[in-house]
Order: sequence, then C-alpha cells, then structure tokens
Amino acid sequence: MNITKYVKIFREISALRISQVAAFGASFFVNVLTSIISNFLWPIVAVVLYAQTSGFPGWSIGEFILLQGTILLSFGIAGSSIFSIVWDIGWQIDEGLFDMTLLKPMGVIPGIIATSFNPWFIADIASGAVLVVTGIISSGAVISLLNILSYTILIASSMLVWFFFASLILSLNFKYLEAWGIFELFWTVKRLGEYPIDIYGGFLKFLLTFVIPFGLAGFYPAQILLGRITDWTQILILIVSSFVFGIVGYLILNRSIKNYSSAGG
Amino acid sequence: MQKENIIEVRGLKKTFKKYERGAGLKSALKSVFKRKYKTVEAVKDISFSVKKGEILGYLGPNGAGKSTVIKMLTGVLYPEKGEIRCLNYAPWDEREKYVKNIGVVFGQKSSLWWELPPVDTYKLYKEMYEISDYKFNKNLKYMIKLLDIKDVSKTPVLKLSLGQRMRCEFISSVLHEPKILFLDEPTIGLDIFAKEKIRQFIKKINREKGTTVILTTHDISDVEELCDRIIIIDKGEHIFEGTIQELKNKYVCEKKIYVEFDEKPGRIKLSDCRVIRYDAWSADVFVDLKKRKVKEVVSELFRKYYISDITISEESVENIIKRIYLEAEKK
Amino acid sequence: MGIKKYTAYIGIEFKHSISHRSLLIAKIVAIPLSIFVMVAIWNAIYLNNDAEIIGYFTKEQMVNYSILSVIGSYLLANRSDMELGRIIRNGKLTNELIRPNQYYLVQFFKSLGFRTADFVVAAPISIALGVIFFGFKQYDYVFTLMSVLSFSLSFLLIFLFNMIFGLIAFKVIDYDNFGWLKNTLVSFFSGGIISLSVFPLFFQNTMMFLPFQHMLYTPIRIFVGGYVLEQCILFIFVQAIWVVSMFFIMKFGWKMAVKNFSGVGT
Repeated sequence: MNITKYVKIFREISALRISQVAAFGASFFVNVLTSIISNFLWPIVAVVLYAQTSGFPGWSIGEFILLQGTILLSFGIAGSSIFSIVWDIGWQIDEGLFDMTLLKPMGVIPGIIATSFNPWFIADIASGAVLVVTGIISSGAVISLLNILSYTILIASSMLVWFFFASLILSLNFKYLEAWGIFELFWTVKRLGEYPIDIYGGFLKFLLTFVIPFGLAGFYPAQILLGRITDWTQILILIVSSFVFGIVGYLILNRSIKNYSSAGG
Repeated sequence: MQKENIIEVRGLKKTFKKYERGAGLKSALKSVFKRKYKTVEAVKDISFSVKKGEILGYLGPNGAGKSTVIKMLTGVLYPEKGEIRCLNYAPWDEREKYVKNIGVVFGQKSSLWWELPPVDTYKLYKEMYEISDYKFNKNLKYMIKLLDIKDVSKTPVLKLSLGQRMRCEFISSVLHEPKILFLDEPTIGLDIFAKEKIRQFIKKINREKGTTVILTTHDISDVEELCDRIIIIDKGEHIFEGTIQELKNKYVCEKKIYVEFDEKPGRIKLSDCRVIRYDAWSADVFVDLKKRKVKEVVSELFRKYYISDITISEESVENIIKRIYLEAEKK
Repeated sequence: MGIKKYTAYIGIEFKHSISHRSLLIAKIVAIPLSIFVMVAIWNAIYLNNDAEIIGYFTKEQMVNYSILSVIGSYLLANRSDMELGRIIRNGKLTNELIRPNQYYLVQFFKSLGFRTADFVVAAPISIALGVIFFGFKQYDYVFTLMSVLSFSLSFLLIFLFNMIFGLIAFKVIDYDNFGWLKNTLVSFFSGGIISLSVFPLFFQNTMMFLPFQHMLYTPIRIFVGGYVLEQCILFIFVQAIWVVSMFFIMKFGWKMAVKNFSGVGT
C-alpha cells in the first residue's frame, strides 16, 4: 500500500474541507456555538447535581467533569477524523453515490479513512480539553507524566474503538438504506459510556469494556489519568483490546463493502 | 488495420432481490414484521465486445439492465456469472489498478465539491490518480481551453449553470487520460449549445487520444452524432447490436414522400403505398420499401401529377428505437 | 374547513414512519435503554446521598420522572422547524404555498402521524418495561388524567414553538445548526435532561415566566404527584394560555415571513 499517496489525499481533503467550512461562513460559527453550549450543559447539570447531592459514588465533581471531558475529547478527535466516515459514507450510501467512491483508484477502506477529515468537531475537541483541565484543577488530583503518557496512548488507541463503531454503523447502513435508526441507537448506547460505568454493576461494566467498548474511550483513560489504574498489565490489556476492536471493525466493513458490490446498490 | 478489442464480455448474468410491499395500511403494518422479496433477473446472458477507440452507444428503456451492465464493467458490481475483461483486467478483482485507466461521468450525479471551485476538486483527483505535476497542468490547460471554462473553473460549483458544471465534470473525468470513458446521460438537461460543446469534446478526445467511449443515453441525437455502433438492451438481454445504418436497414420499412401539387390531383392512386391527404394541394405518401423503390414512386408521381415540390424523409432513429422498445415490451 | 385533507396526512406519515423499520426497532431499544441509563444514574445518586428527597422528589418519584421524561421527549419531539428549513433551502417552499391548505396545519397533522408509531408501538413497550423493571407507577388516576391533558397541551406548545422559531429559516442560509441549538436549549430548560426542581430556586422562579417548563416538566410533575390538585389546574391553565398566545404569534409571524419571502400582497 502506497502510504504517501494516502497522506497526500488526506492533505488535499483537509484543505478542501477547511475551504468548504470557510464557504459556510456564519453557519460554521453557529455550529461551533451550538456544540460549545451543548458540551457544557451536562457539566453545568453536574455542578447543580453535586451542589444538591453527593453525586456519583467514588467520583468528586472535578473527577466527574474530567470523565465528561475525556469522552468529549476522545469523540471529538474521532469525529474530526476516523469516525466521520459514518457521515461521509453514510450520506453517499443514502444518496446512491457510493459507487463514485468505488470508481476511485484507491483501496476502499484506506481511501475512505484517508478522505475522512471533518473540521466541524473542533469545538468538541476544545471543549473536551477545557473540561479535562478544569476537572484536573477542580479535583486537585496530582497527575504524573506517566499518567499523561498512558492517558494519551489510550486516547489514541480509542480511535480504533470509534472506528469499530463506525464500521458497525456503516455495515448496517449498507444493508438497510436510510438506516437513521442505527444512529439513534448508537447515540443512546454511547450515553451509557458517558457516566462512571461502575454504577451499572459488574456485567454491564464488562459489556462496556469488552463488547460495546465505550468504556475504553472515556472511563478507563479518565481512571488512568487520575492514577486509579497503575498496573501496566491492565493498561496493556486495554490497549490490546482497542487494537482487537479496530481489526474486527476493519473485517466487518470489508465484508459489508464486498456484499454491497455483490448484491448491488 | 483491425483494431483490438478493449472490452470483452462473455455470458454475463446478474440477479437482484427486490423488496415488495403493497399499498395501504395493512401492508405497511405487515411489512414491519415480514418482508416479501422478489428475485429480478437484471442481466440474463450478455456477450459483446468493444474495439479500442470505438464510441459505443448502450441504449435501452428504463429498467432494461443498462446501469447494471455498466456497473459491472466499471468494477462497482460483481457479476453472478460470466466473464469481463476490460483493458485485460477483471474489473472487480483488480478494481484499484483498473479504475486508474477509466473515467466516468454521471449526468445526474456530481463528483465535484459543491461549495468549492472545480479546480480544488481537480487537485484532489491529481493525488488520487497520481498524476504528475507536468501532466496535470498540461491536461488541465488543454481541457479548459477545449471546453471554454477559463472563467468558471475558479467559481464555486453551486454558482455554475448546468452546462458549465457538466463541462467541469468532464474535465475531472479525463485529467488522468483514461483509456475508456463511461458516460451515463452526459447531456441530460443541457441546452442545444451546451450539448454541442460536449459532443465536440467527446469526438475530439476520441480522435486525438484514442479514448474508447461507452455512452448510455436517452437522447438519440447524441447517438446519431457520436456513436460508431449501438447496442440495445431490454429486460436484461441484447436485442440489437450494430451501426445506425444497420439499424435503419433492419428496421426501416417505410419512407415518406411529402408532395405539394401545382394542380389539384384528385384521388391519388399509387400501388403499395399509403397516402394521407391533408388538403387539396399536399399529401404524405408512405412507400412500403419491401415492395417498391422510392425512385419508382417518385417517377410515377411526376408522371401522373403536376408536382411543385417534393421532400423525401425516412423514419427517425428515435422512432425506430421507440418501435423496438414497444415490440420488445409486447413479447 | 375540510379537515379531512389534513387528517389524511396522519395516515401517510404513519405509514412512512413504520416503513423505516430500522428506526422503529431502534426506538423500541433506545427508549428503554435511555430509561435504564437515567434510572441507574439516579439510583447511584440516591444511594450515595444521605437525604431521601432531592429536588422535592423521592427516589421513586425521580425514577418515574426519568422514565416519563425519556418517553415524553420522544413522543413530543417535533421536526416542523427543520422541515421548514429544508424546504426553504431547496426551494420547495413555493410548492407548499401554492397548495390549497394551511402549511401549519399540514405540518401539525404530519407530526401527529409520525408520532403515532411511537405512541402505538414504542411507548407502550417502554412503559411496560418501566413497570416491570423500574417500578413505574401512577400516583393517582385523577393526576394521570390531568397529566394526559397537560401532555396534549405540551405537544401543541412544542409544535407552535418550533413553528415560530423555524421562521428564522427565512433569514438564514442553513437553519439546521440553529435547530440543533434550539433543541439542546429547550431540552435543558424544559426539564428533559434533569428535573428543574434540582436547580436553584432563582432559576426555577425564572422558568415560571417562560414556556419551556410547560413543555415537559409540568405534565411530568403532575403525573408523579409533584403538585397539589389546585397547582395542577393552575399550571394546565397557564399551559393553555401559552398555547393560545403562541398560536397567534405563529400565525402573525408566518404571515409576515411569507409576505416578505414571496412579495405578494396581504
């Protein structure tokens, strides 16, 4: 595989998408404003909740905000890159335009990943970062360089988890056209991962770690940053799990595209 | 010198599963729990070949199987049975290498980024098709001049007229100098001048670059202007393959002679001809070509009547094709 | 008035909504799942809390509130403003204006039709699961009946608010972002994310003067027995006033917007 070619394609796509955003002008700023407001609503609700109650067991307000920020940051990075294939390719499938992607001289999956750049998530990345920093300061947690390094690695490997989800959604979209319901379901299940997953009990916690791994994209990185997971074996297991999900995602998407081409669109 | 075959298709077959649902609330509720599927034979058993540098018209009524065949030729769809060799590639097996040598223009789907000028999209395709800087700049300059879009290539696509947009679409499909160009209704919705420009462009790249062109269209004037040969498909089968002249020879059974008289002719009697009188001074005479020659009828008309003007015309290709579709429908 | 030409939209939209099987199935799963998330959150919070009352609600009341806020958010959701934004953007508004009907009535009955599927399929399943697994139950028959009336007024209120807010689409190129912003804020201010009773008193008092709390919070609070009878009647009356006021604002706003859009006379 010619990596340079895909890097160049990604570079051109990024330039095109940024130009496209500039063409939208005011609409882009409204979108950013909307994202920022909705991103900070739940932390505001959390502050109100913690003012009236003791909040979630084992989580102070600062730690909870750090968790919220981590999920936002992780999803923001994914949404602006690898996860954006859901919207790009999903739209193409709905409009009957996916054939045009198949007519391009690039490997289908490497190609769709290389063309996935979405600057509209910049607000989520920024909000997430702000919440993480606010959470650290508010919780008074002492963060070591090793914590930050492990955190960064886990956030990076969580991109593979988001790719796994994107592949699942797309594969269902290939099979059932205009499958907006799949997205509805995804957002709802994602909400499970936006809270400390230990409030759900052992079985669901296991599910959210090793089956529908939202925990890998938010809960565990937050735990690592707060120094609650220090055992390297555990951290390694989490990273390897992300890679496994990435591979599974690739296989699922590959099969779906093959089936699309054989069944006809 | 006999040209080589650039496309070879043998025994191509493709079936689809289509979901059926009746009208009404009862059917709508039923379909939530159980869906009925119907198997449709989109392509039955098709074999044909295309020579290098040929412009082939691929025609058929809606739902005939044209798009399915074209999708298989472009590597987008897997055939169920049969073999395709395009430029010595099996399109779907060696898709990435194969599509580098083809270009596709869809009349109803745009490959240009809507909010941005076409040149921005061209730069992206330059990387995708791995076109060198030199070749890219040379081809772009040439195409812009040929299609006369210097003023528009830097204007956002959404601000362009349909004609301008189609010309820009063409450029995006030929920048990499494809050996085969697939055109799916490229002149749909265009005015007569825009159509003419597109046709001239197609002829020129076919002539100068030797590009083989596969054209699917419902506009018969495109076919008459451009195509060396046509294939007509209906219900997944080829029902005609040949040149326009061969089509006329096979299907044209009448010619029309429009006659204007100097003196009122009275009742017009001509054997093996149909006569339609519009008024006392003119008539259409339809000559059955199986039984008589046109020159004989013309001589007879001049012998029997006082003629002021005469026009001979044959059935239009569009009419012939309409007749073919209708006959196929009846079977 | 020829109401039949509008009620026909109910049937069409209902069939349209159930034709997208994936969406229907997704809602049947998503609604109970959302309920589960909310109930799990509140269970954890109440367990971790010394006091038994949070925001005037016991744990059982808060669970009931959460279940109804999830179901209510789905049932009452309305896309009339997004639809208006879409047809203005793609130039199809003129198609609607030349039809012999009132656009707002068409949209209203379309909304009813689309939500019927949720009402008939997703909601009963969710309520049944709520009863079986989360202890969902009514406070009292009278209050349940009043909450049904209140929810009906909420449906009207949300619809009218969306039609008014959607008039922004006449002035902007891309309405969608405004629509999402509105949905997020309305969800927050209507008690869709968390009960308004958890917020500080000054915030609750401010909300009294706005229509948002009557979109979701009021009917739910009536159902869970969060108000005495007199308060219930008063708040239903206030809801009705909001509905009537919004109706006239919507009619006037629409008339002005269309007048400026098409340039025709009064």
